[in-house]
Amino acid sequence: MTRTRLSLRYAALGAFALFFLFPLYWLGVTALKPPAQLFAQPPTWWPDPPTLAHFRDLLAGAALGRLAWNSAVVALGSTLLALVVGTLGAYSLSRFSLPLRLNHHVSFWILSTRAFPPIISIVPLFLILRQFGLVDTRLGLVLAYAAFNLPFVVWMMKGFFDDLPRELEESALVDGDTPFGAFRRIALPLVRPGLAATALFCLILSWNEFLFALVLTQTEAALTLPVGIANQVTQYEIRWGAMSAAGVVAMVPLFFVALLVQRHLVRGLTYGAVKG
Amino acid sequence: MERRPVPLAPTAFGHRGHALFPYFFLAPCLLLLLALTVYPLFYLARLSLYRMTPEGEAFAGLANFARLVTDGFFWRALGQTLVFTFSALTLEFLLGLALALLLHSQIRGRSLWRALFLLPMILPPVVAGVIWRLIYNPNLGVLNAALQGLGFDTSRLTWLADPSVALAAVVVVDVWEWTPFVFLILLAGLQAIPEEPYEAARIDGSGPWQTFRHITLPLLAPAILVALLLRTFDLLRLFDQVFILTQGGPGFATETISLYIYKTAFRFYDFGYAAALSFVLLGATLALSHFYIRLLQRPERTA
Amino acid sequence: MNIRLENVVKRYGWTTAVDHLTLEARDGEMLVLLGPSGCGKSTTLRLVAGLEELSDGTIYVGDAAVNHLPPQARDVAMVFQNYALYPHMTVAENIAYPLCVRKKPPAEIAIEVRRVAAMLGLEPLLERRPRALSGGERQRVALARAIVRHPAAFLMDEPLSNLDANLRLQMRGELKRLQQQLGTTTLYVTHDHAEAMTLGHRIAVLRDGCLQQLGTPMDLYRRPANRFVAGFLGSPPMNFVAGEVVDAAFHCRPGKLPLTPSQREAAAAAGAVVLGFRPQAAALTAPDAPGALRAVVYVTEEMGSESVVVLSCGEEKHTVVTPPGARAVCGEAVGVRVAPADVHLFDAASGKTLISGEG
Repeated sequence: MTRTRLSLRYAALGAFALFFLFPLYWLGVTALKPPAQLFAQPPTWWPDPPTLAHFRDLLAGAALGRLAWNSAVVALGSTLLALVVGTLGAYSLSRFSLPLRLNHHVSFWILSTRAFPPIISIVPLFLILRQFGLVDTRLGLVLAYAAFNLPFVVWMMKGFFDDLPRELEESALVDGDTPFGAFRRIALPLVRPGLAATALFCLILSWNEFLFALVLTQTEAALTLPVGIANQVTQYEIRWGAMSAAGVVAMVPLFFVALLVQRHLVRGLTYGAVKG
Repeated sequence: MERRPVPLAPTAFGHRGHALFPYFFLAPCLLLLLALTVYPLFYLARLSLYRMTPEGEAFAGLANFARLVTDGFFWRALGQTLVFTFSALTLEFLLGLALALLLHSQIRGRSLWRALFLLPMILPPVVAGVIWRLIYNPNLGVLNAALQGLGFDTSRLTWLADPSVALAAVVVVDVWEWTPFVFLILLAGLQAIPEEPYEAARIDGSGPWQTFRHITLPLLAPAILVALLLRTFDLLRLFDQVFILTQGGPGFATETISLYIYKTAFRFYDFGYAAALSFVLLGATLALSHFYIRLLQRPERTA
Repeated sequence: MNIRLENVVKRYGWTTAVDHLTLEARDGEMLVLLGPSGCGKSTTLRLVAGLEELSDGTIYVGDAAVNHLPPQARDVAMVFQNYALYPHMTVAENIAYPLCVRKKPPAEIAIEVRRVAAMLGLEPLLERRPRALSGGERQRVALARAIVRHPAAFLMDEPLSNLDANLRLQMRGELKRLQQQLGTTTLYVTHDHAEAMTLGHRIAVLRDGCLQQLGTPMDLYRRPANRFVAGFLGSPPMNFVAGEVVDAAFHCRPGKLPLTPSQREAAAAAGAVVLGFRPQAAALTAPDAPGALRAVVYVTEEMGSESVVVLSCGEEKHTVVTPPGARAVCGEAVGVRVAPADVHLFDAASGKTLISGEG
């Protein structure tokens, strides 16, 4: 490749990097700026000196810890529920020929839920959960999140089970194992990577979720991090420092999770349509 | 093997007791799915036929739907959503394709770049809204500051507060956040294309543009389709970023259909009308998802 | 224990994969199910294993009908074409699996695994995983796993087809010896007729789900029941010529072949007749020799121990095997002579054998 072509490519790459990464840099930097420099004109490109005051403020307000905890509990709970129920369902869809063409109908339905705007579910879900007294509870949120986590888990795990050669379980059956034994001893251990990737995806989806949390939570009892951050904005006084700090807290764990899940990232994003 | 065996027969599980085994596995999943995704739709249908009054609910038949037809705000929100969707989609596609092509060629540190470009997509959309609100702030934000530094007069550039520019500003935020999504999928699609057609094309004397048009694009088409279709679904349902950036303002300039339904239900407590609106949205989405499902149930056509 | 199939039928929708199959594998015998792709042999095996459901008929293992029993209750062991080794377990764990799921005491399991591993030369490999094994080693692990249970029968689904040619020959002999040593009834599926001939005590030839013939390898070779069986066994395959029996001879386009009285009698009732002769039973002579078929040499293949001469006879091709150094020139006109004793006659319409030769 010619020298100019190559340098053009790196220049383009640099431009992309600037566009995509600068705002993230700006978020991190804002979170570390002393209050005086937050609104300085011209803007301070690097905090001098960097300070953790905003993070301390957040913690002092006690809100951040509570919110992060809620987000974590809801994300984990919902992921676990979807994973257990969904993996079993996925296995039966993959392995068994069910009557009434259930295999086809259930798969079709699950795919179509990917297309639905959440606002469609949230109106009835809110009213239904209200009847059960589950609004503003973490449990209510866990159940509501299962509405999108469960179809995702079923579809992804079905794909992973489909990739497993049927002969292994047949061999286990002929060797003398029960169907559940074949599932537990043979199928499940072999889809462990897929299980992990799916779980991490669900965690990311649940952690980032906003609309359901906005509608279904009101107080600190169940408020999650994204809603907490949004609440900061709609106040009269926007505490940019604190909000940036909260943003960083919301973002950092996800980065590591995303690194873990990289191998199956495209598969998860496209519901298995493209195997990355 | 001579023929592809059908899924395990019930007798593989023998006696009556075992024959029920598949159903034990499926039942909890099916029940939960029905409860969380099917039942709400029936509830929604019923809701849409009622009107909320101070005394409770009153049967209204199709009145909600009739109201929808003449509701200027609804049509405006729908129109804005479509404009938004189309512009964001085009930009995300072009930029995503460019980035994918760039990283598919001989660039060093490809996996590092790939991981870095993931970030905007991984963020909670709310946080993306926060960042850009900070950047767009007319007095304190870095965008105007940078423009001022370059000599532009920014006194009238209020971005998110300017009705004529606000929608475009929100489009930029979405492009920033979701181009990586398109990029990742297209990169995976590119990497799945075998070397042979390219080698044959080189030998046949094909130039870079021709190779791209006749080999790369057709072989990439399935991945492009998946990426575009998925983005379309997500753009039609846009809520999070708009909520943070503008709350649908200034005025009504950036109101999307999801935001409109949300406000109808949870600010005005008009659940019946919100249900009717939801149904219209559902209908449009179902029509589109028909194509999506056909795509996904033919795995041999994609990477 | 013997395995008996009585009128077994298996349908998939409108297709019948196995059509009223009745056969018996005697106690201690290796019965080979032979046939081309799609003939129903693998399906039959899976029916016996319990991995597919019968549409009709009964399967007996010993005296017990096993139709309604799940695979785990049938006391048969199966060796799959792709071995189906559990990738996440070591070789030892793979072999031990059938005993583990039957909750045998660990001490007993360890002894059995060692014993079987020794039998198949797998001791140095016990701690490895399947992905670290060669094809031949994997196959032996699959066998070990089947043997360790002392089942009533082995079911083998083309176990040698994934091995390369030399290894296949070697394993063929090993398998035969092993089966004789253990004395376990075995149902063996293959599409390779050479394998069937060398391994089986008896062979069942299947076509489109129907049993064509059941007998010893020599029976099938010397006295095939129909044209299909005749053409399926033997390499190079039997040559077929269409024609009719007029007077005392077989008339066809390339020429005229004399027939014995018994052959004439067998062919009397039939109209159109197909004559078959094995390449090894024919000889090349001068083109206009009496009682020979006219043909033109198409190509000659020198195999070292013999020459295979391919001839074109009108639009058909026939093969003749001659001693090495035949020196048949391409394009040369020759005559093909077959002794009447080596001739098979088949009914042209049904394919049934009218009379067999002796070679």
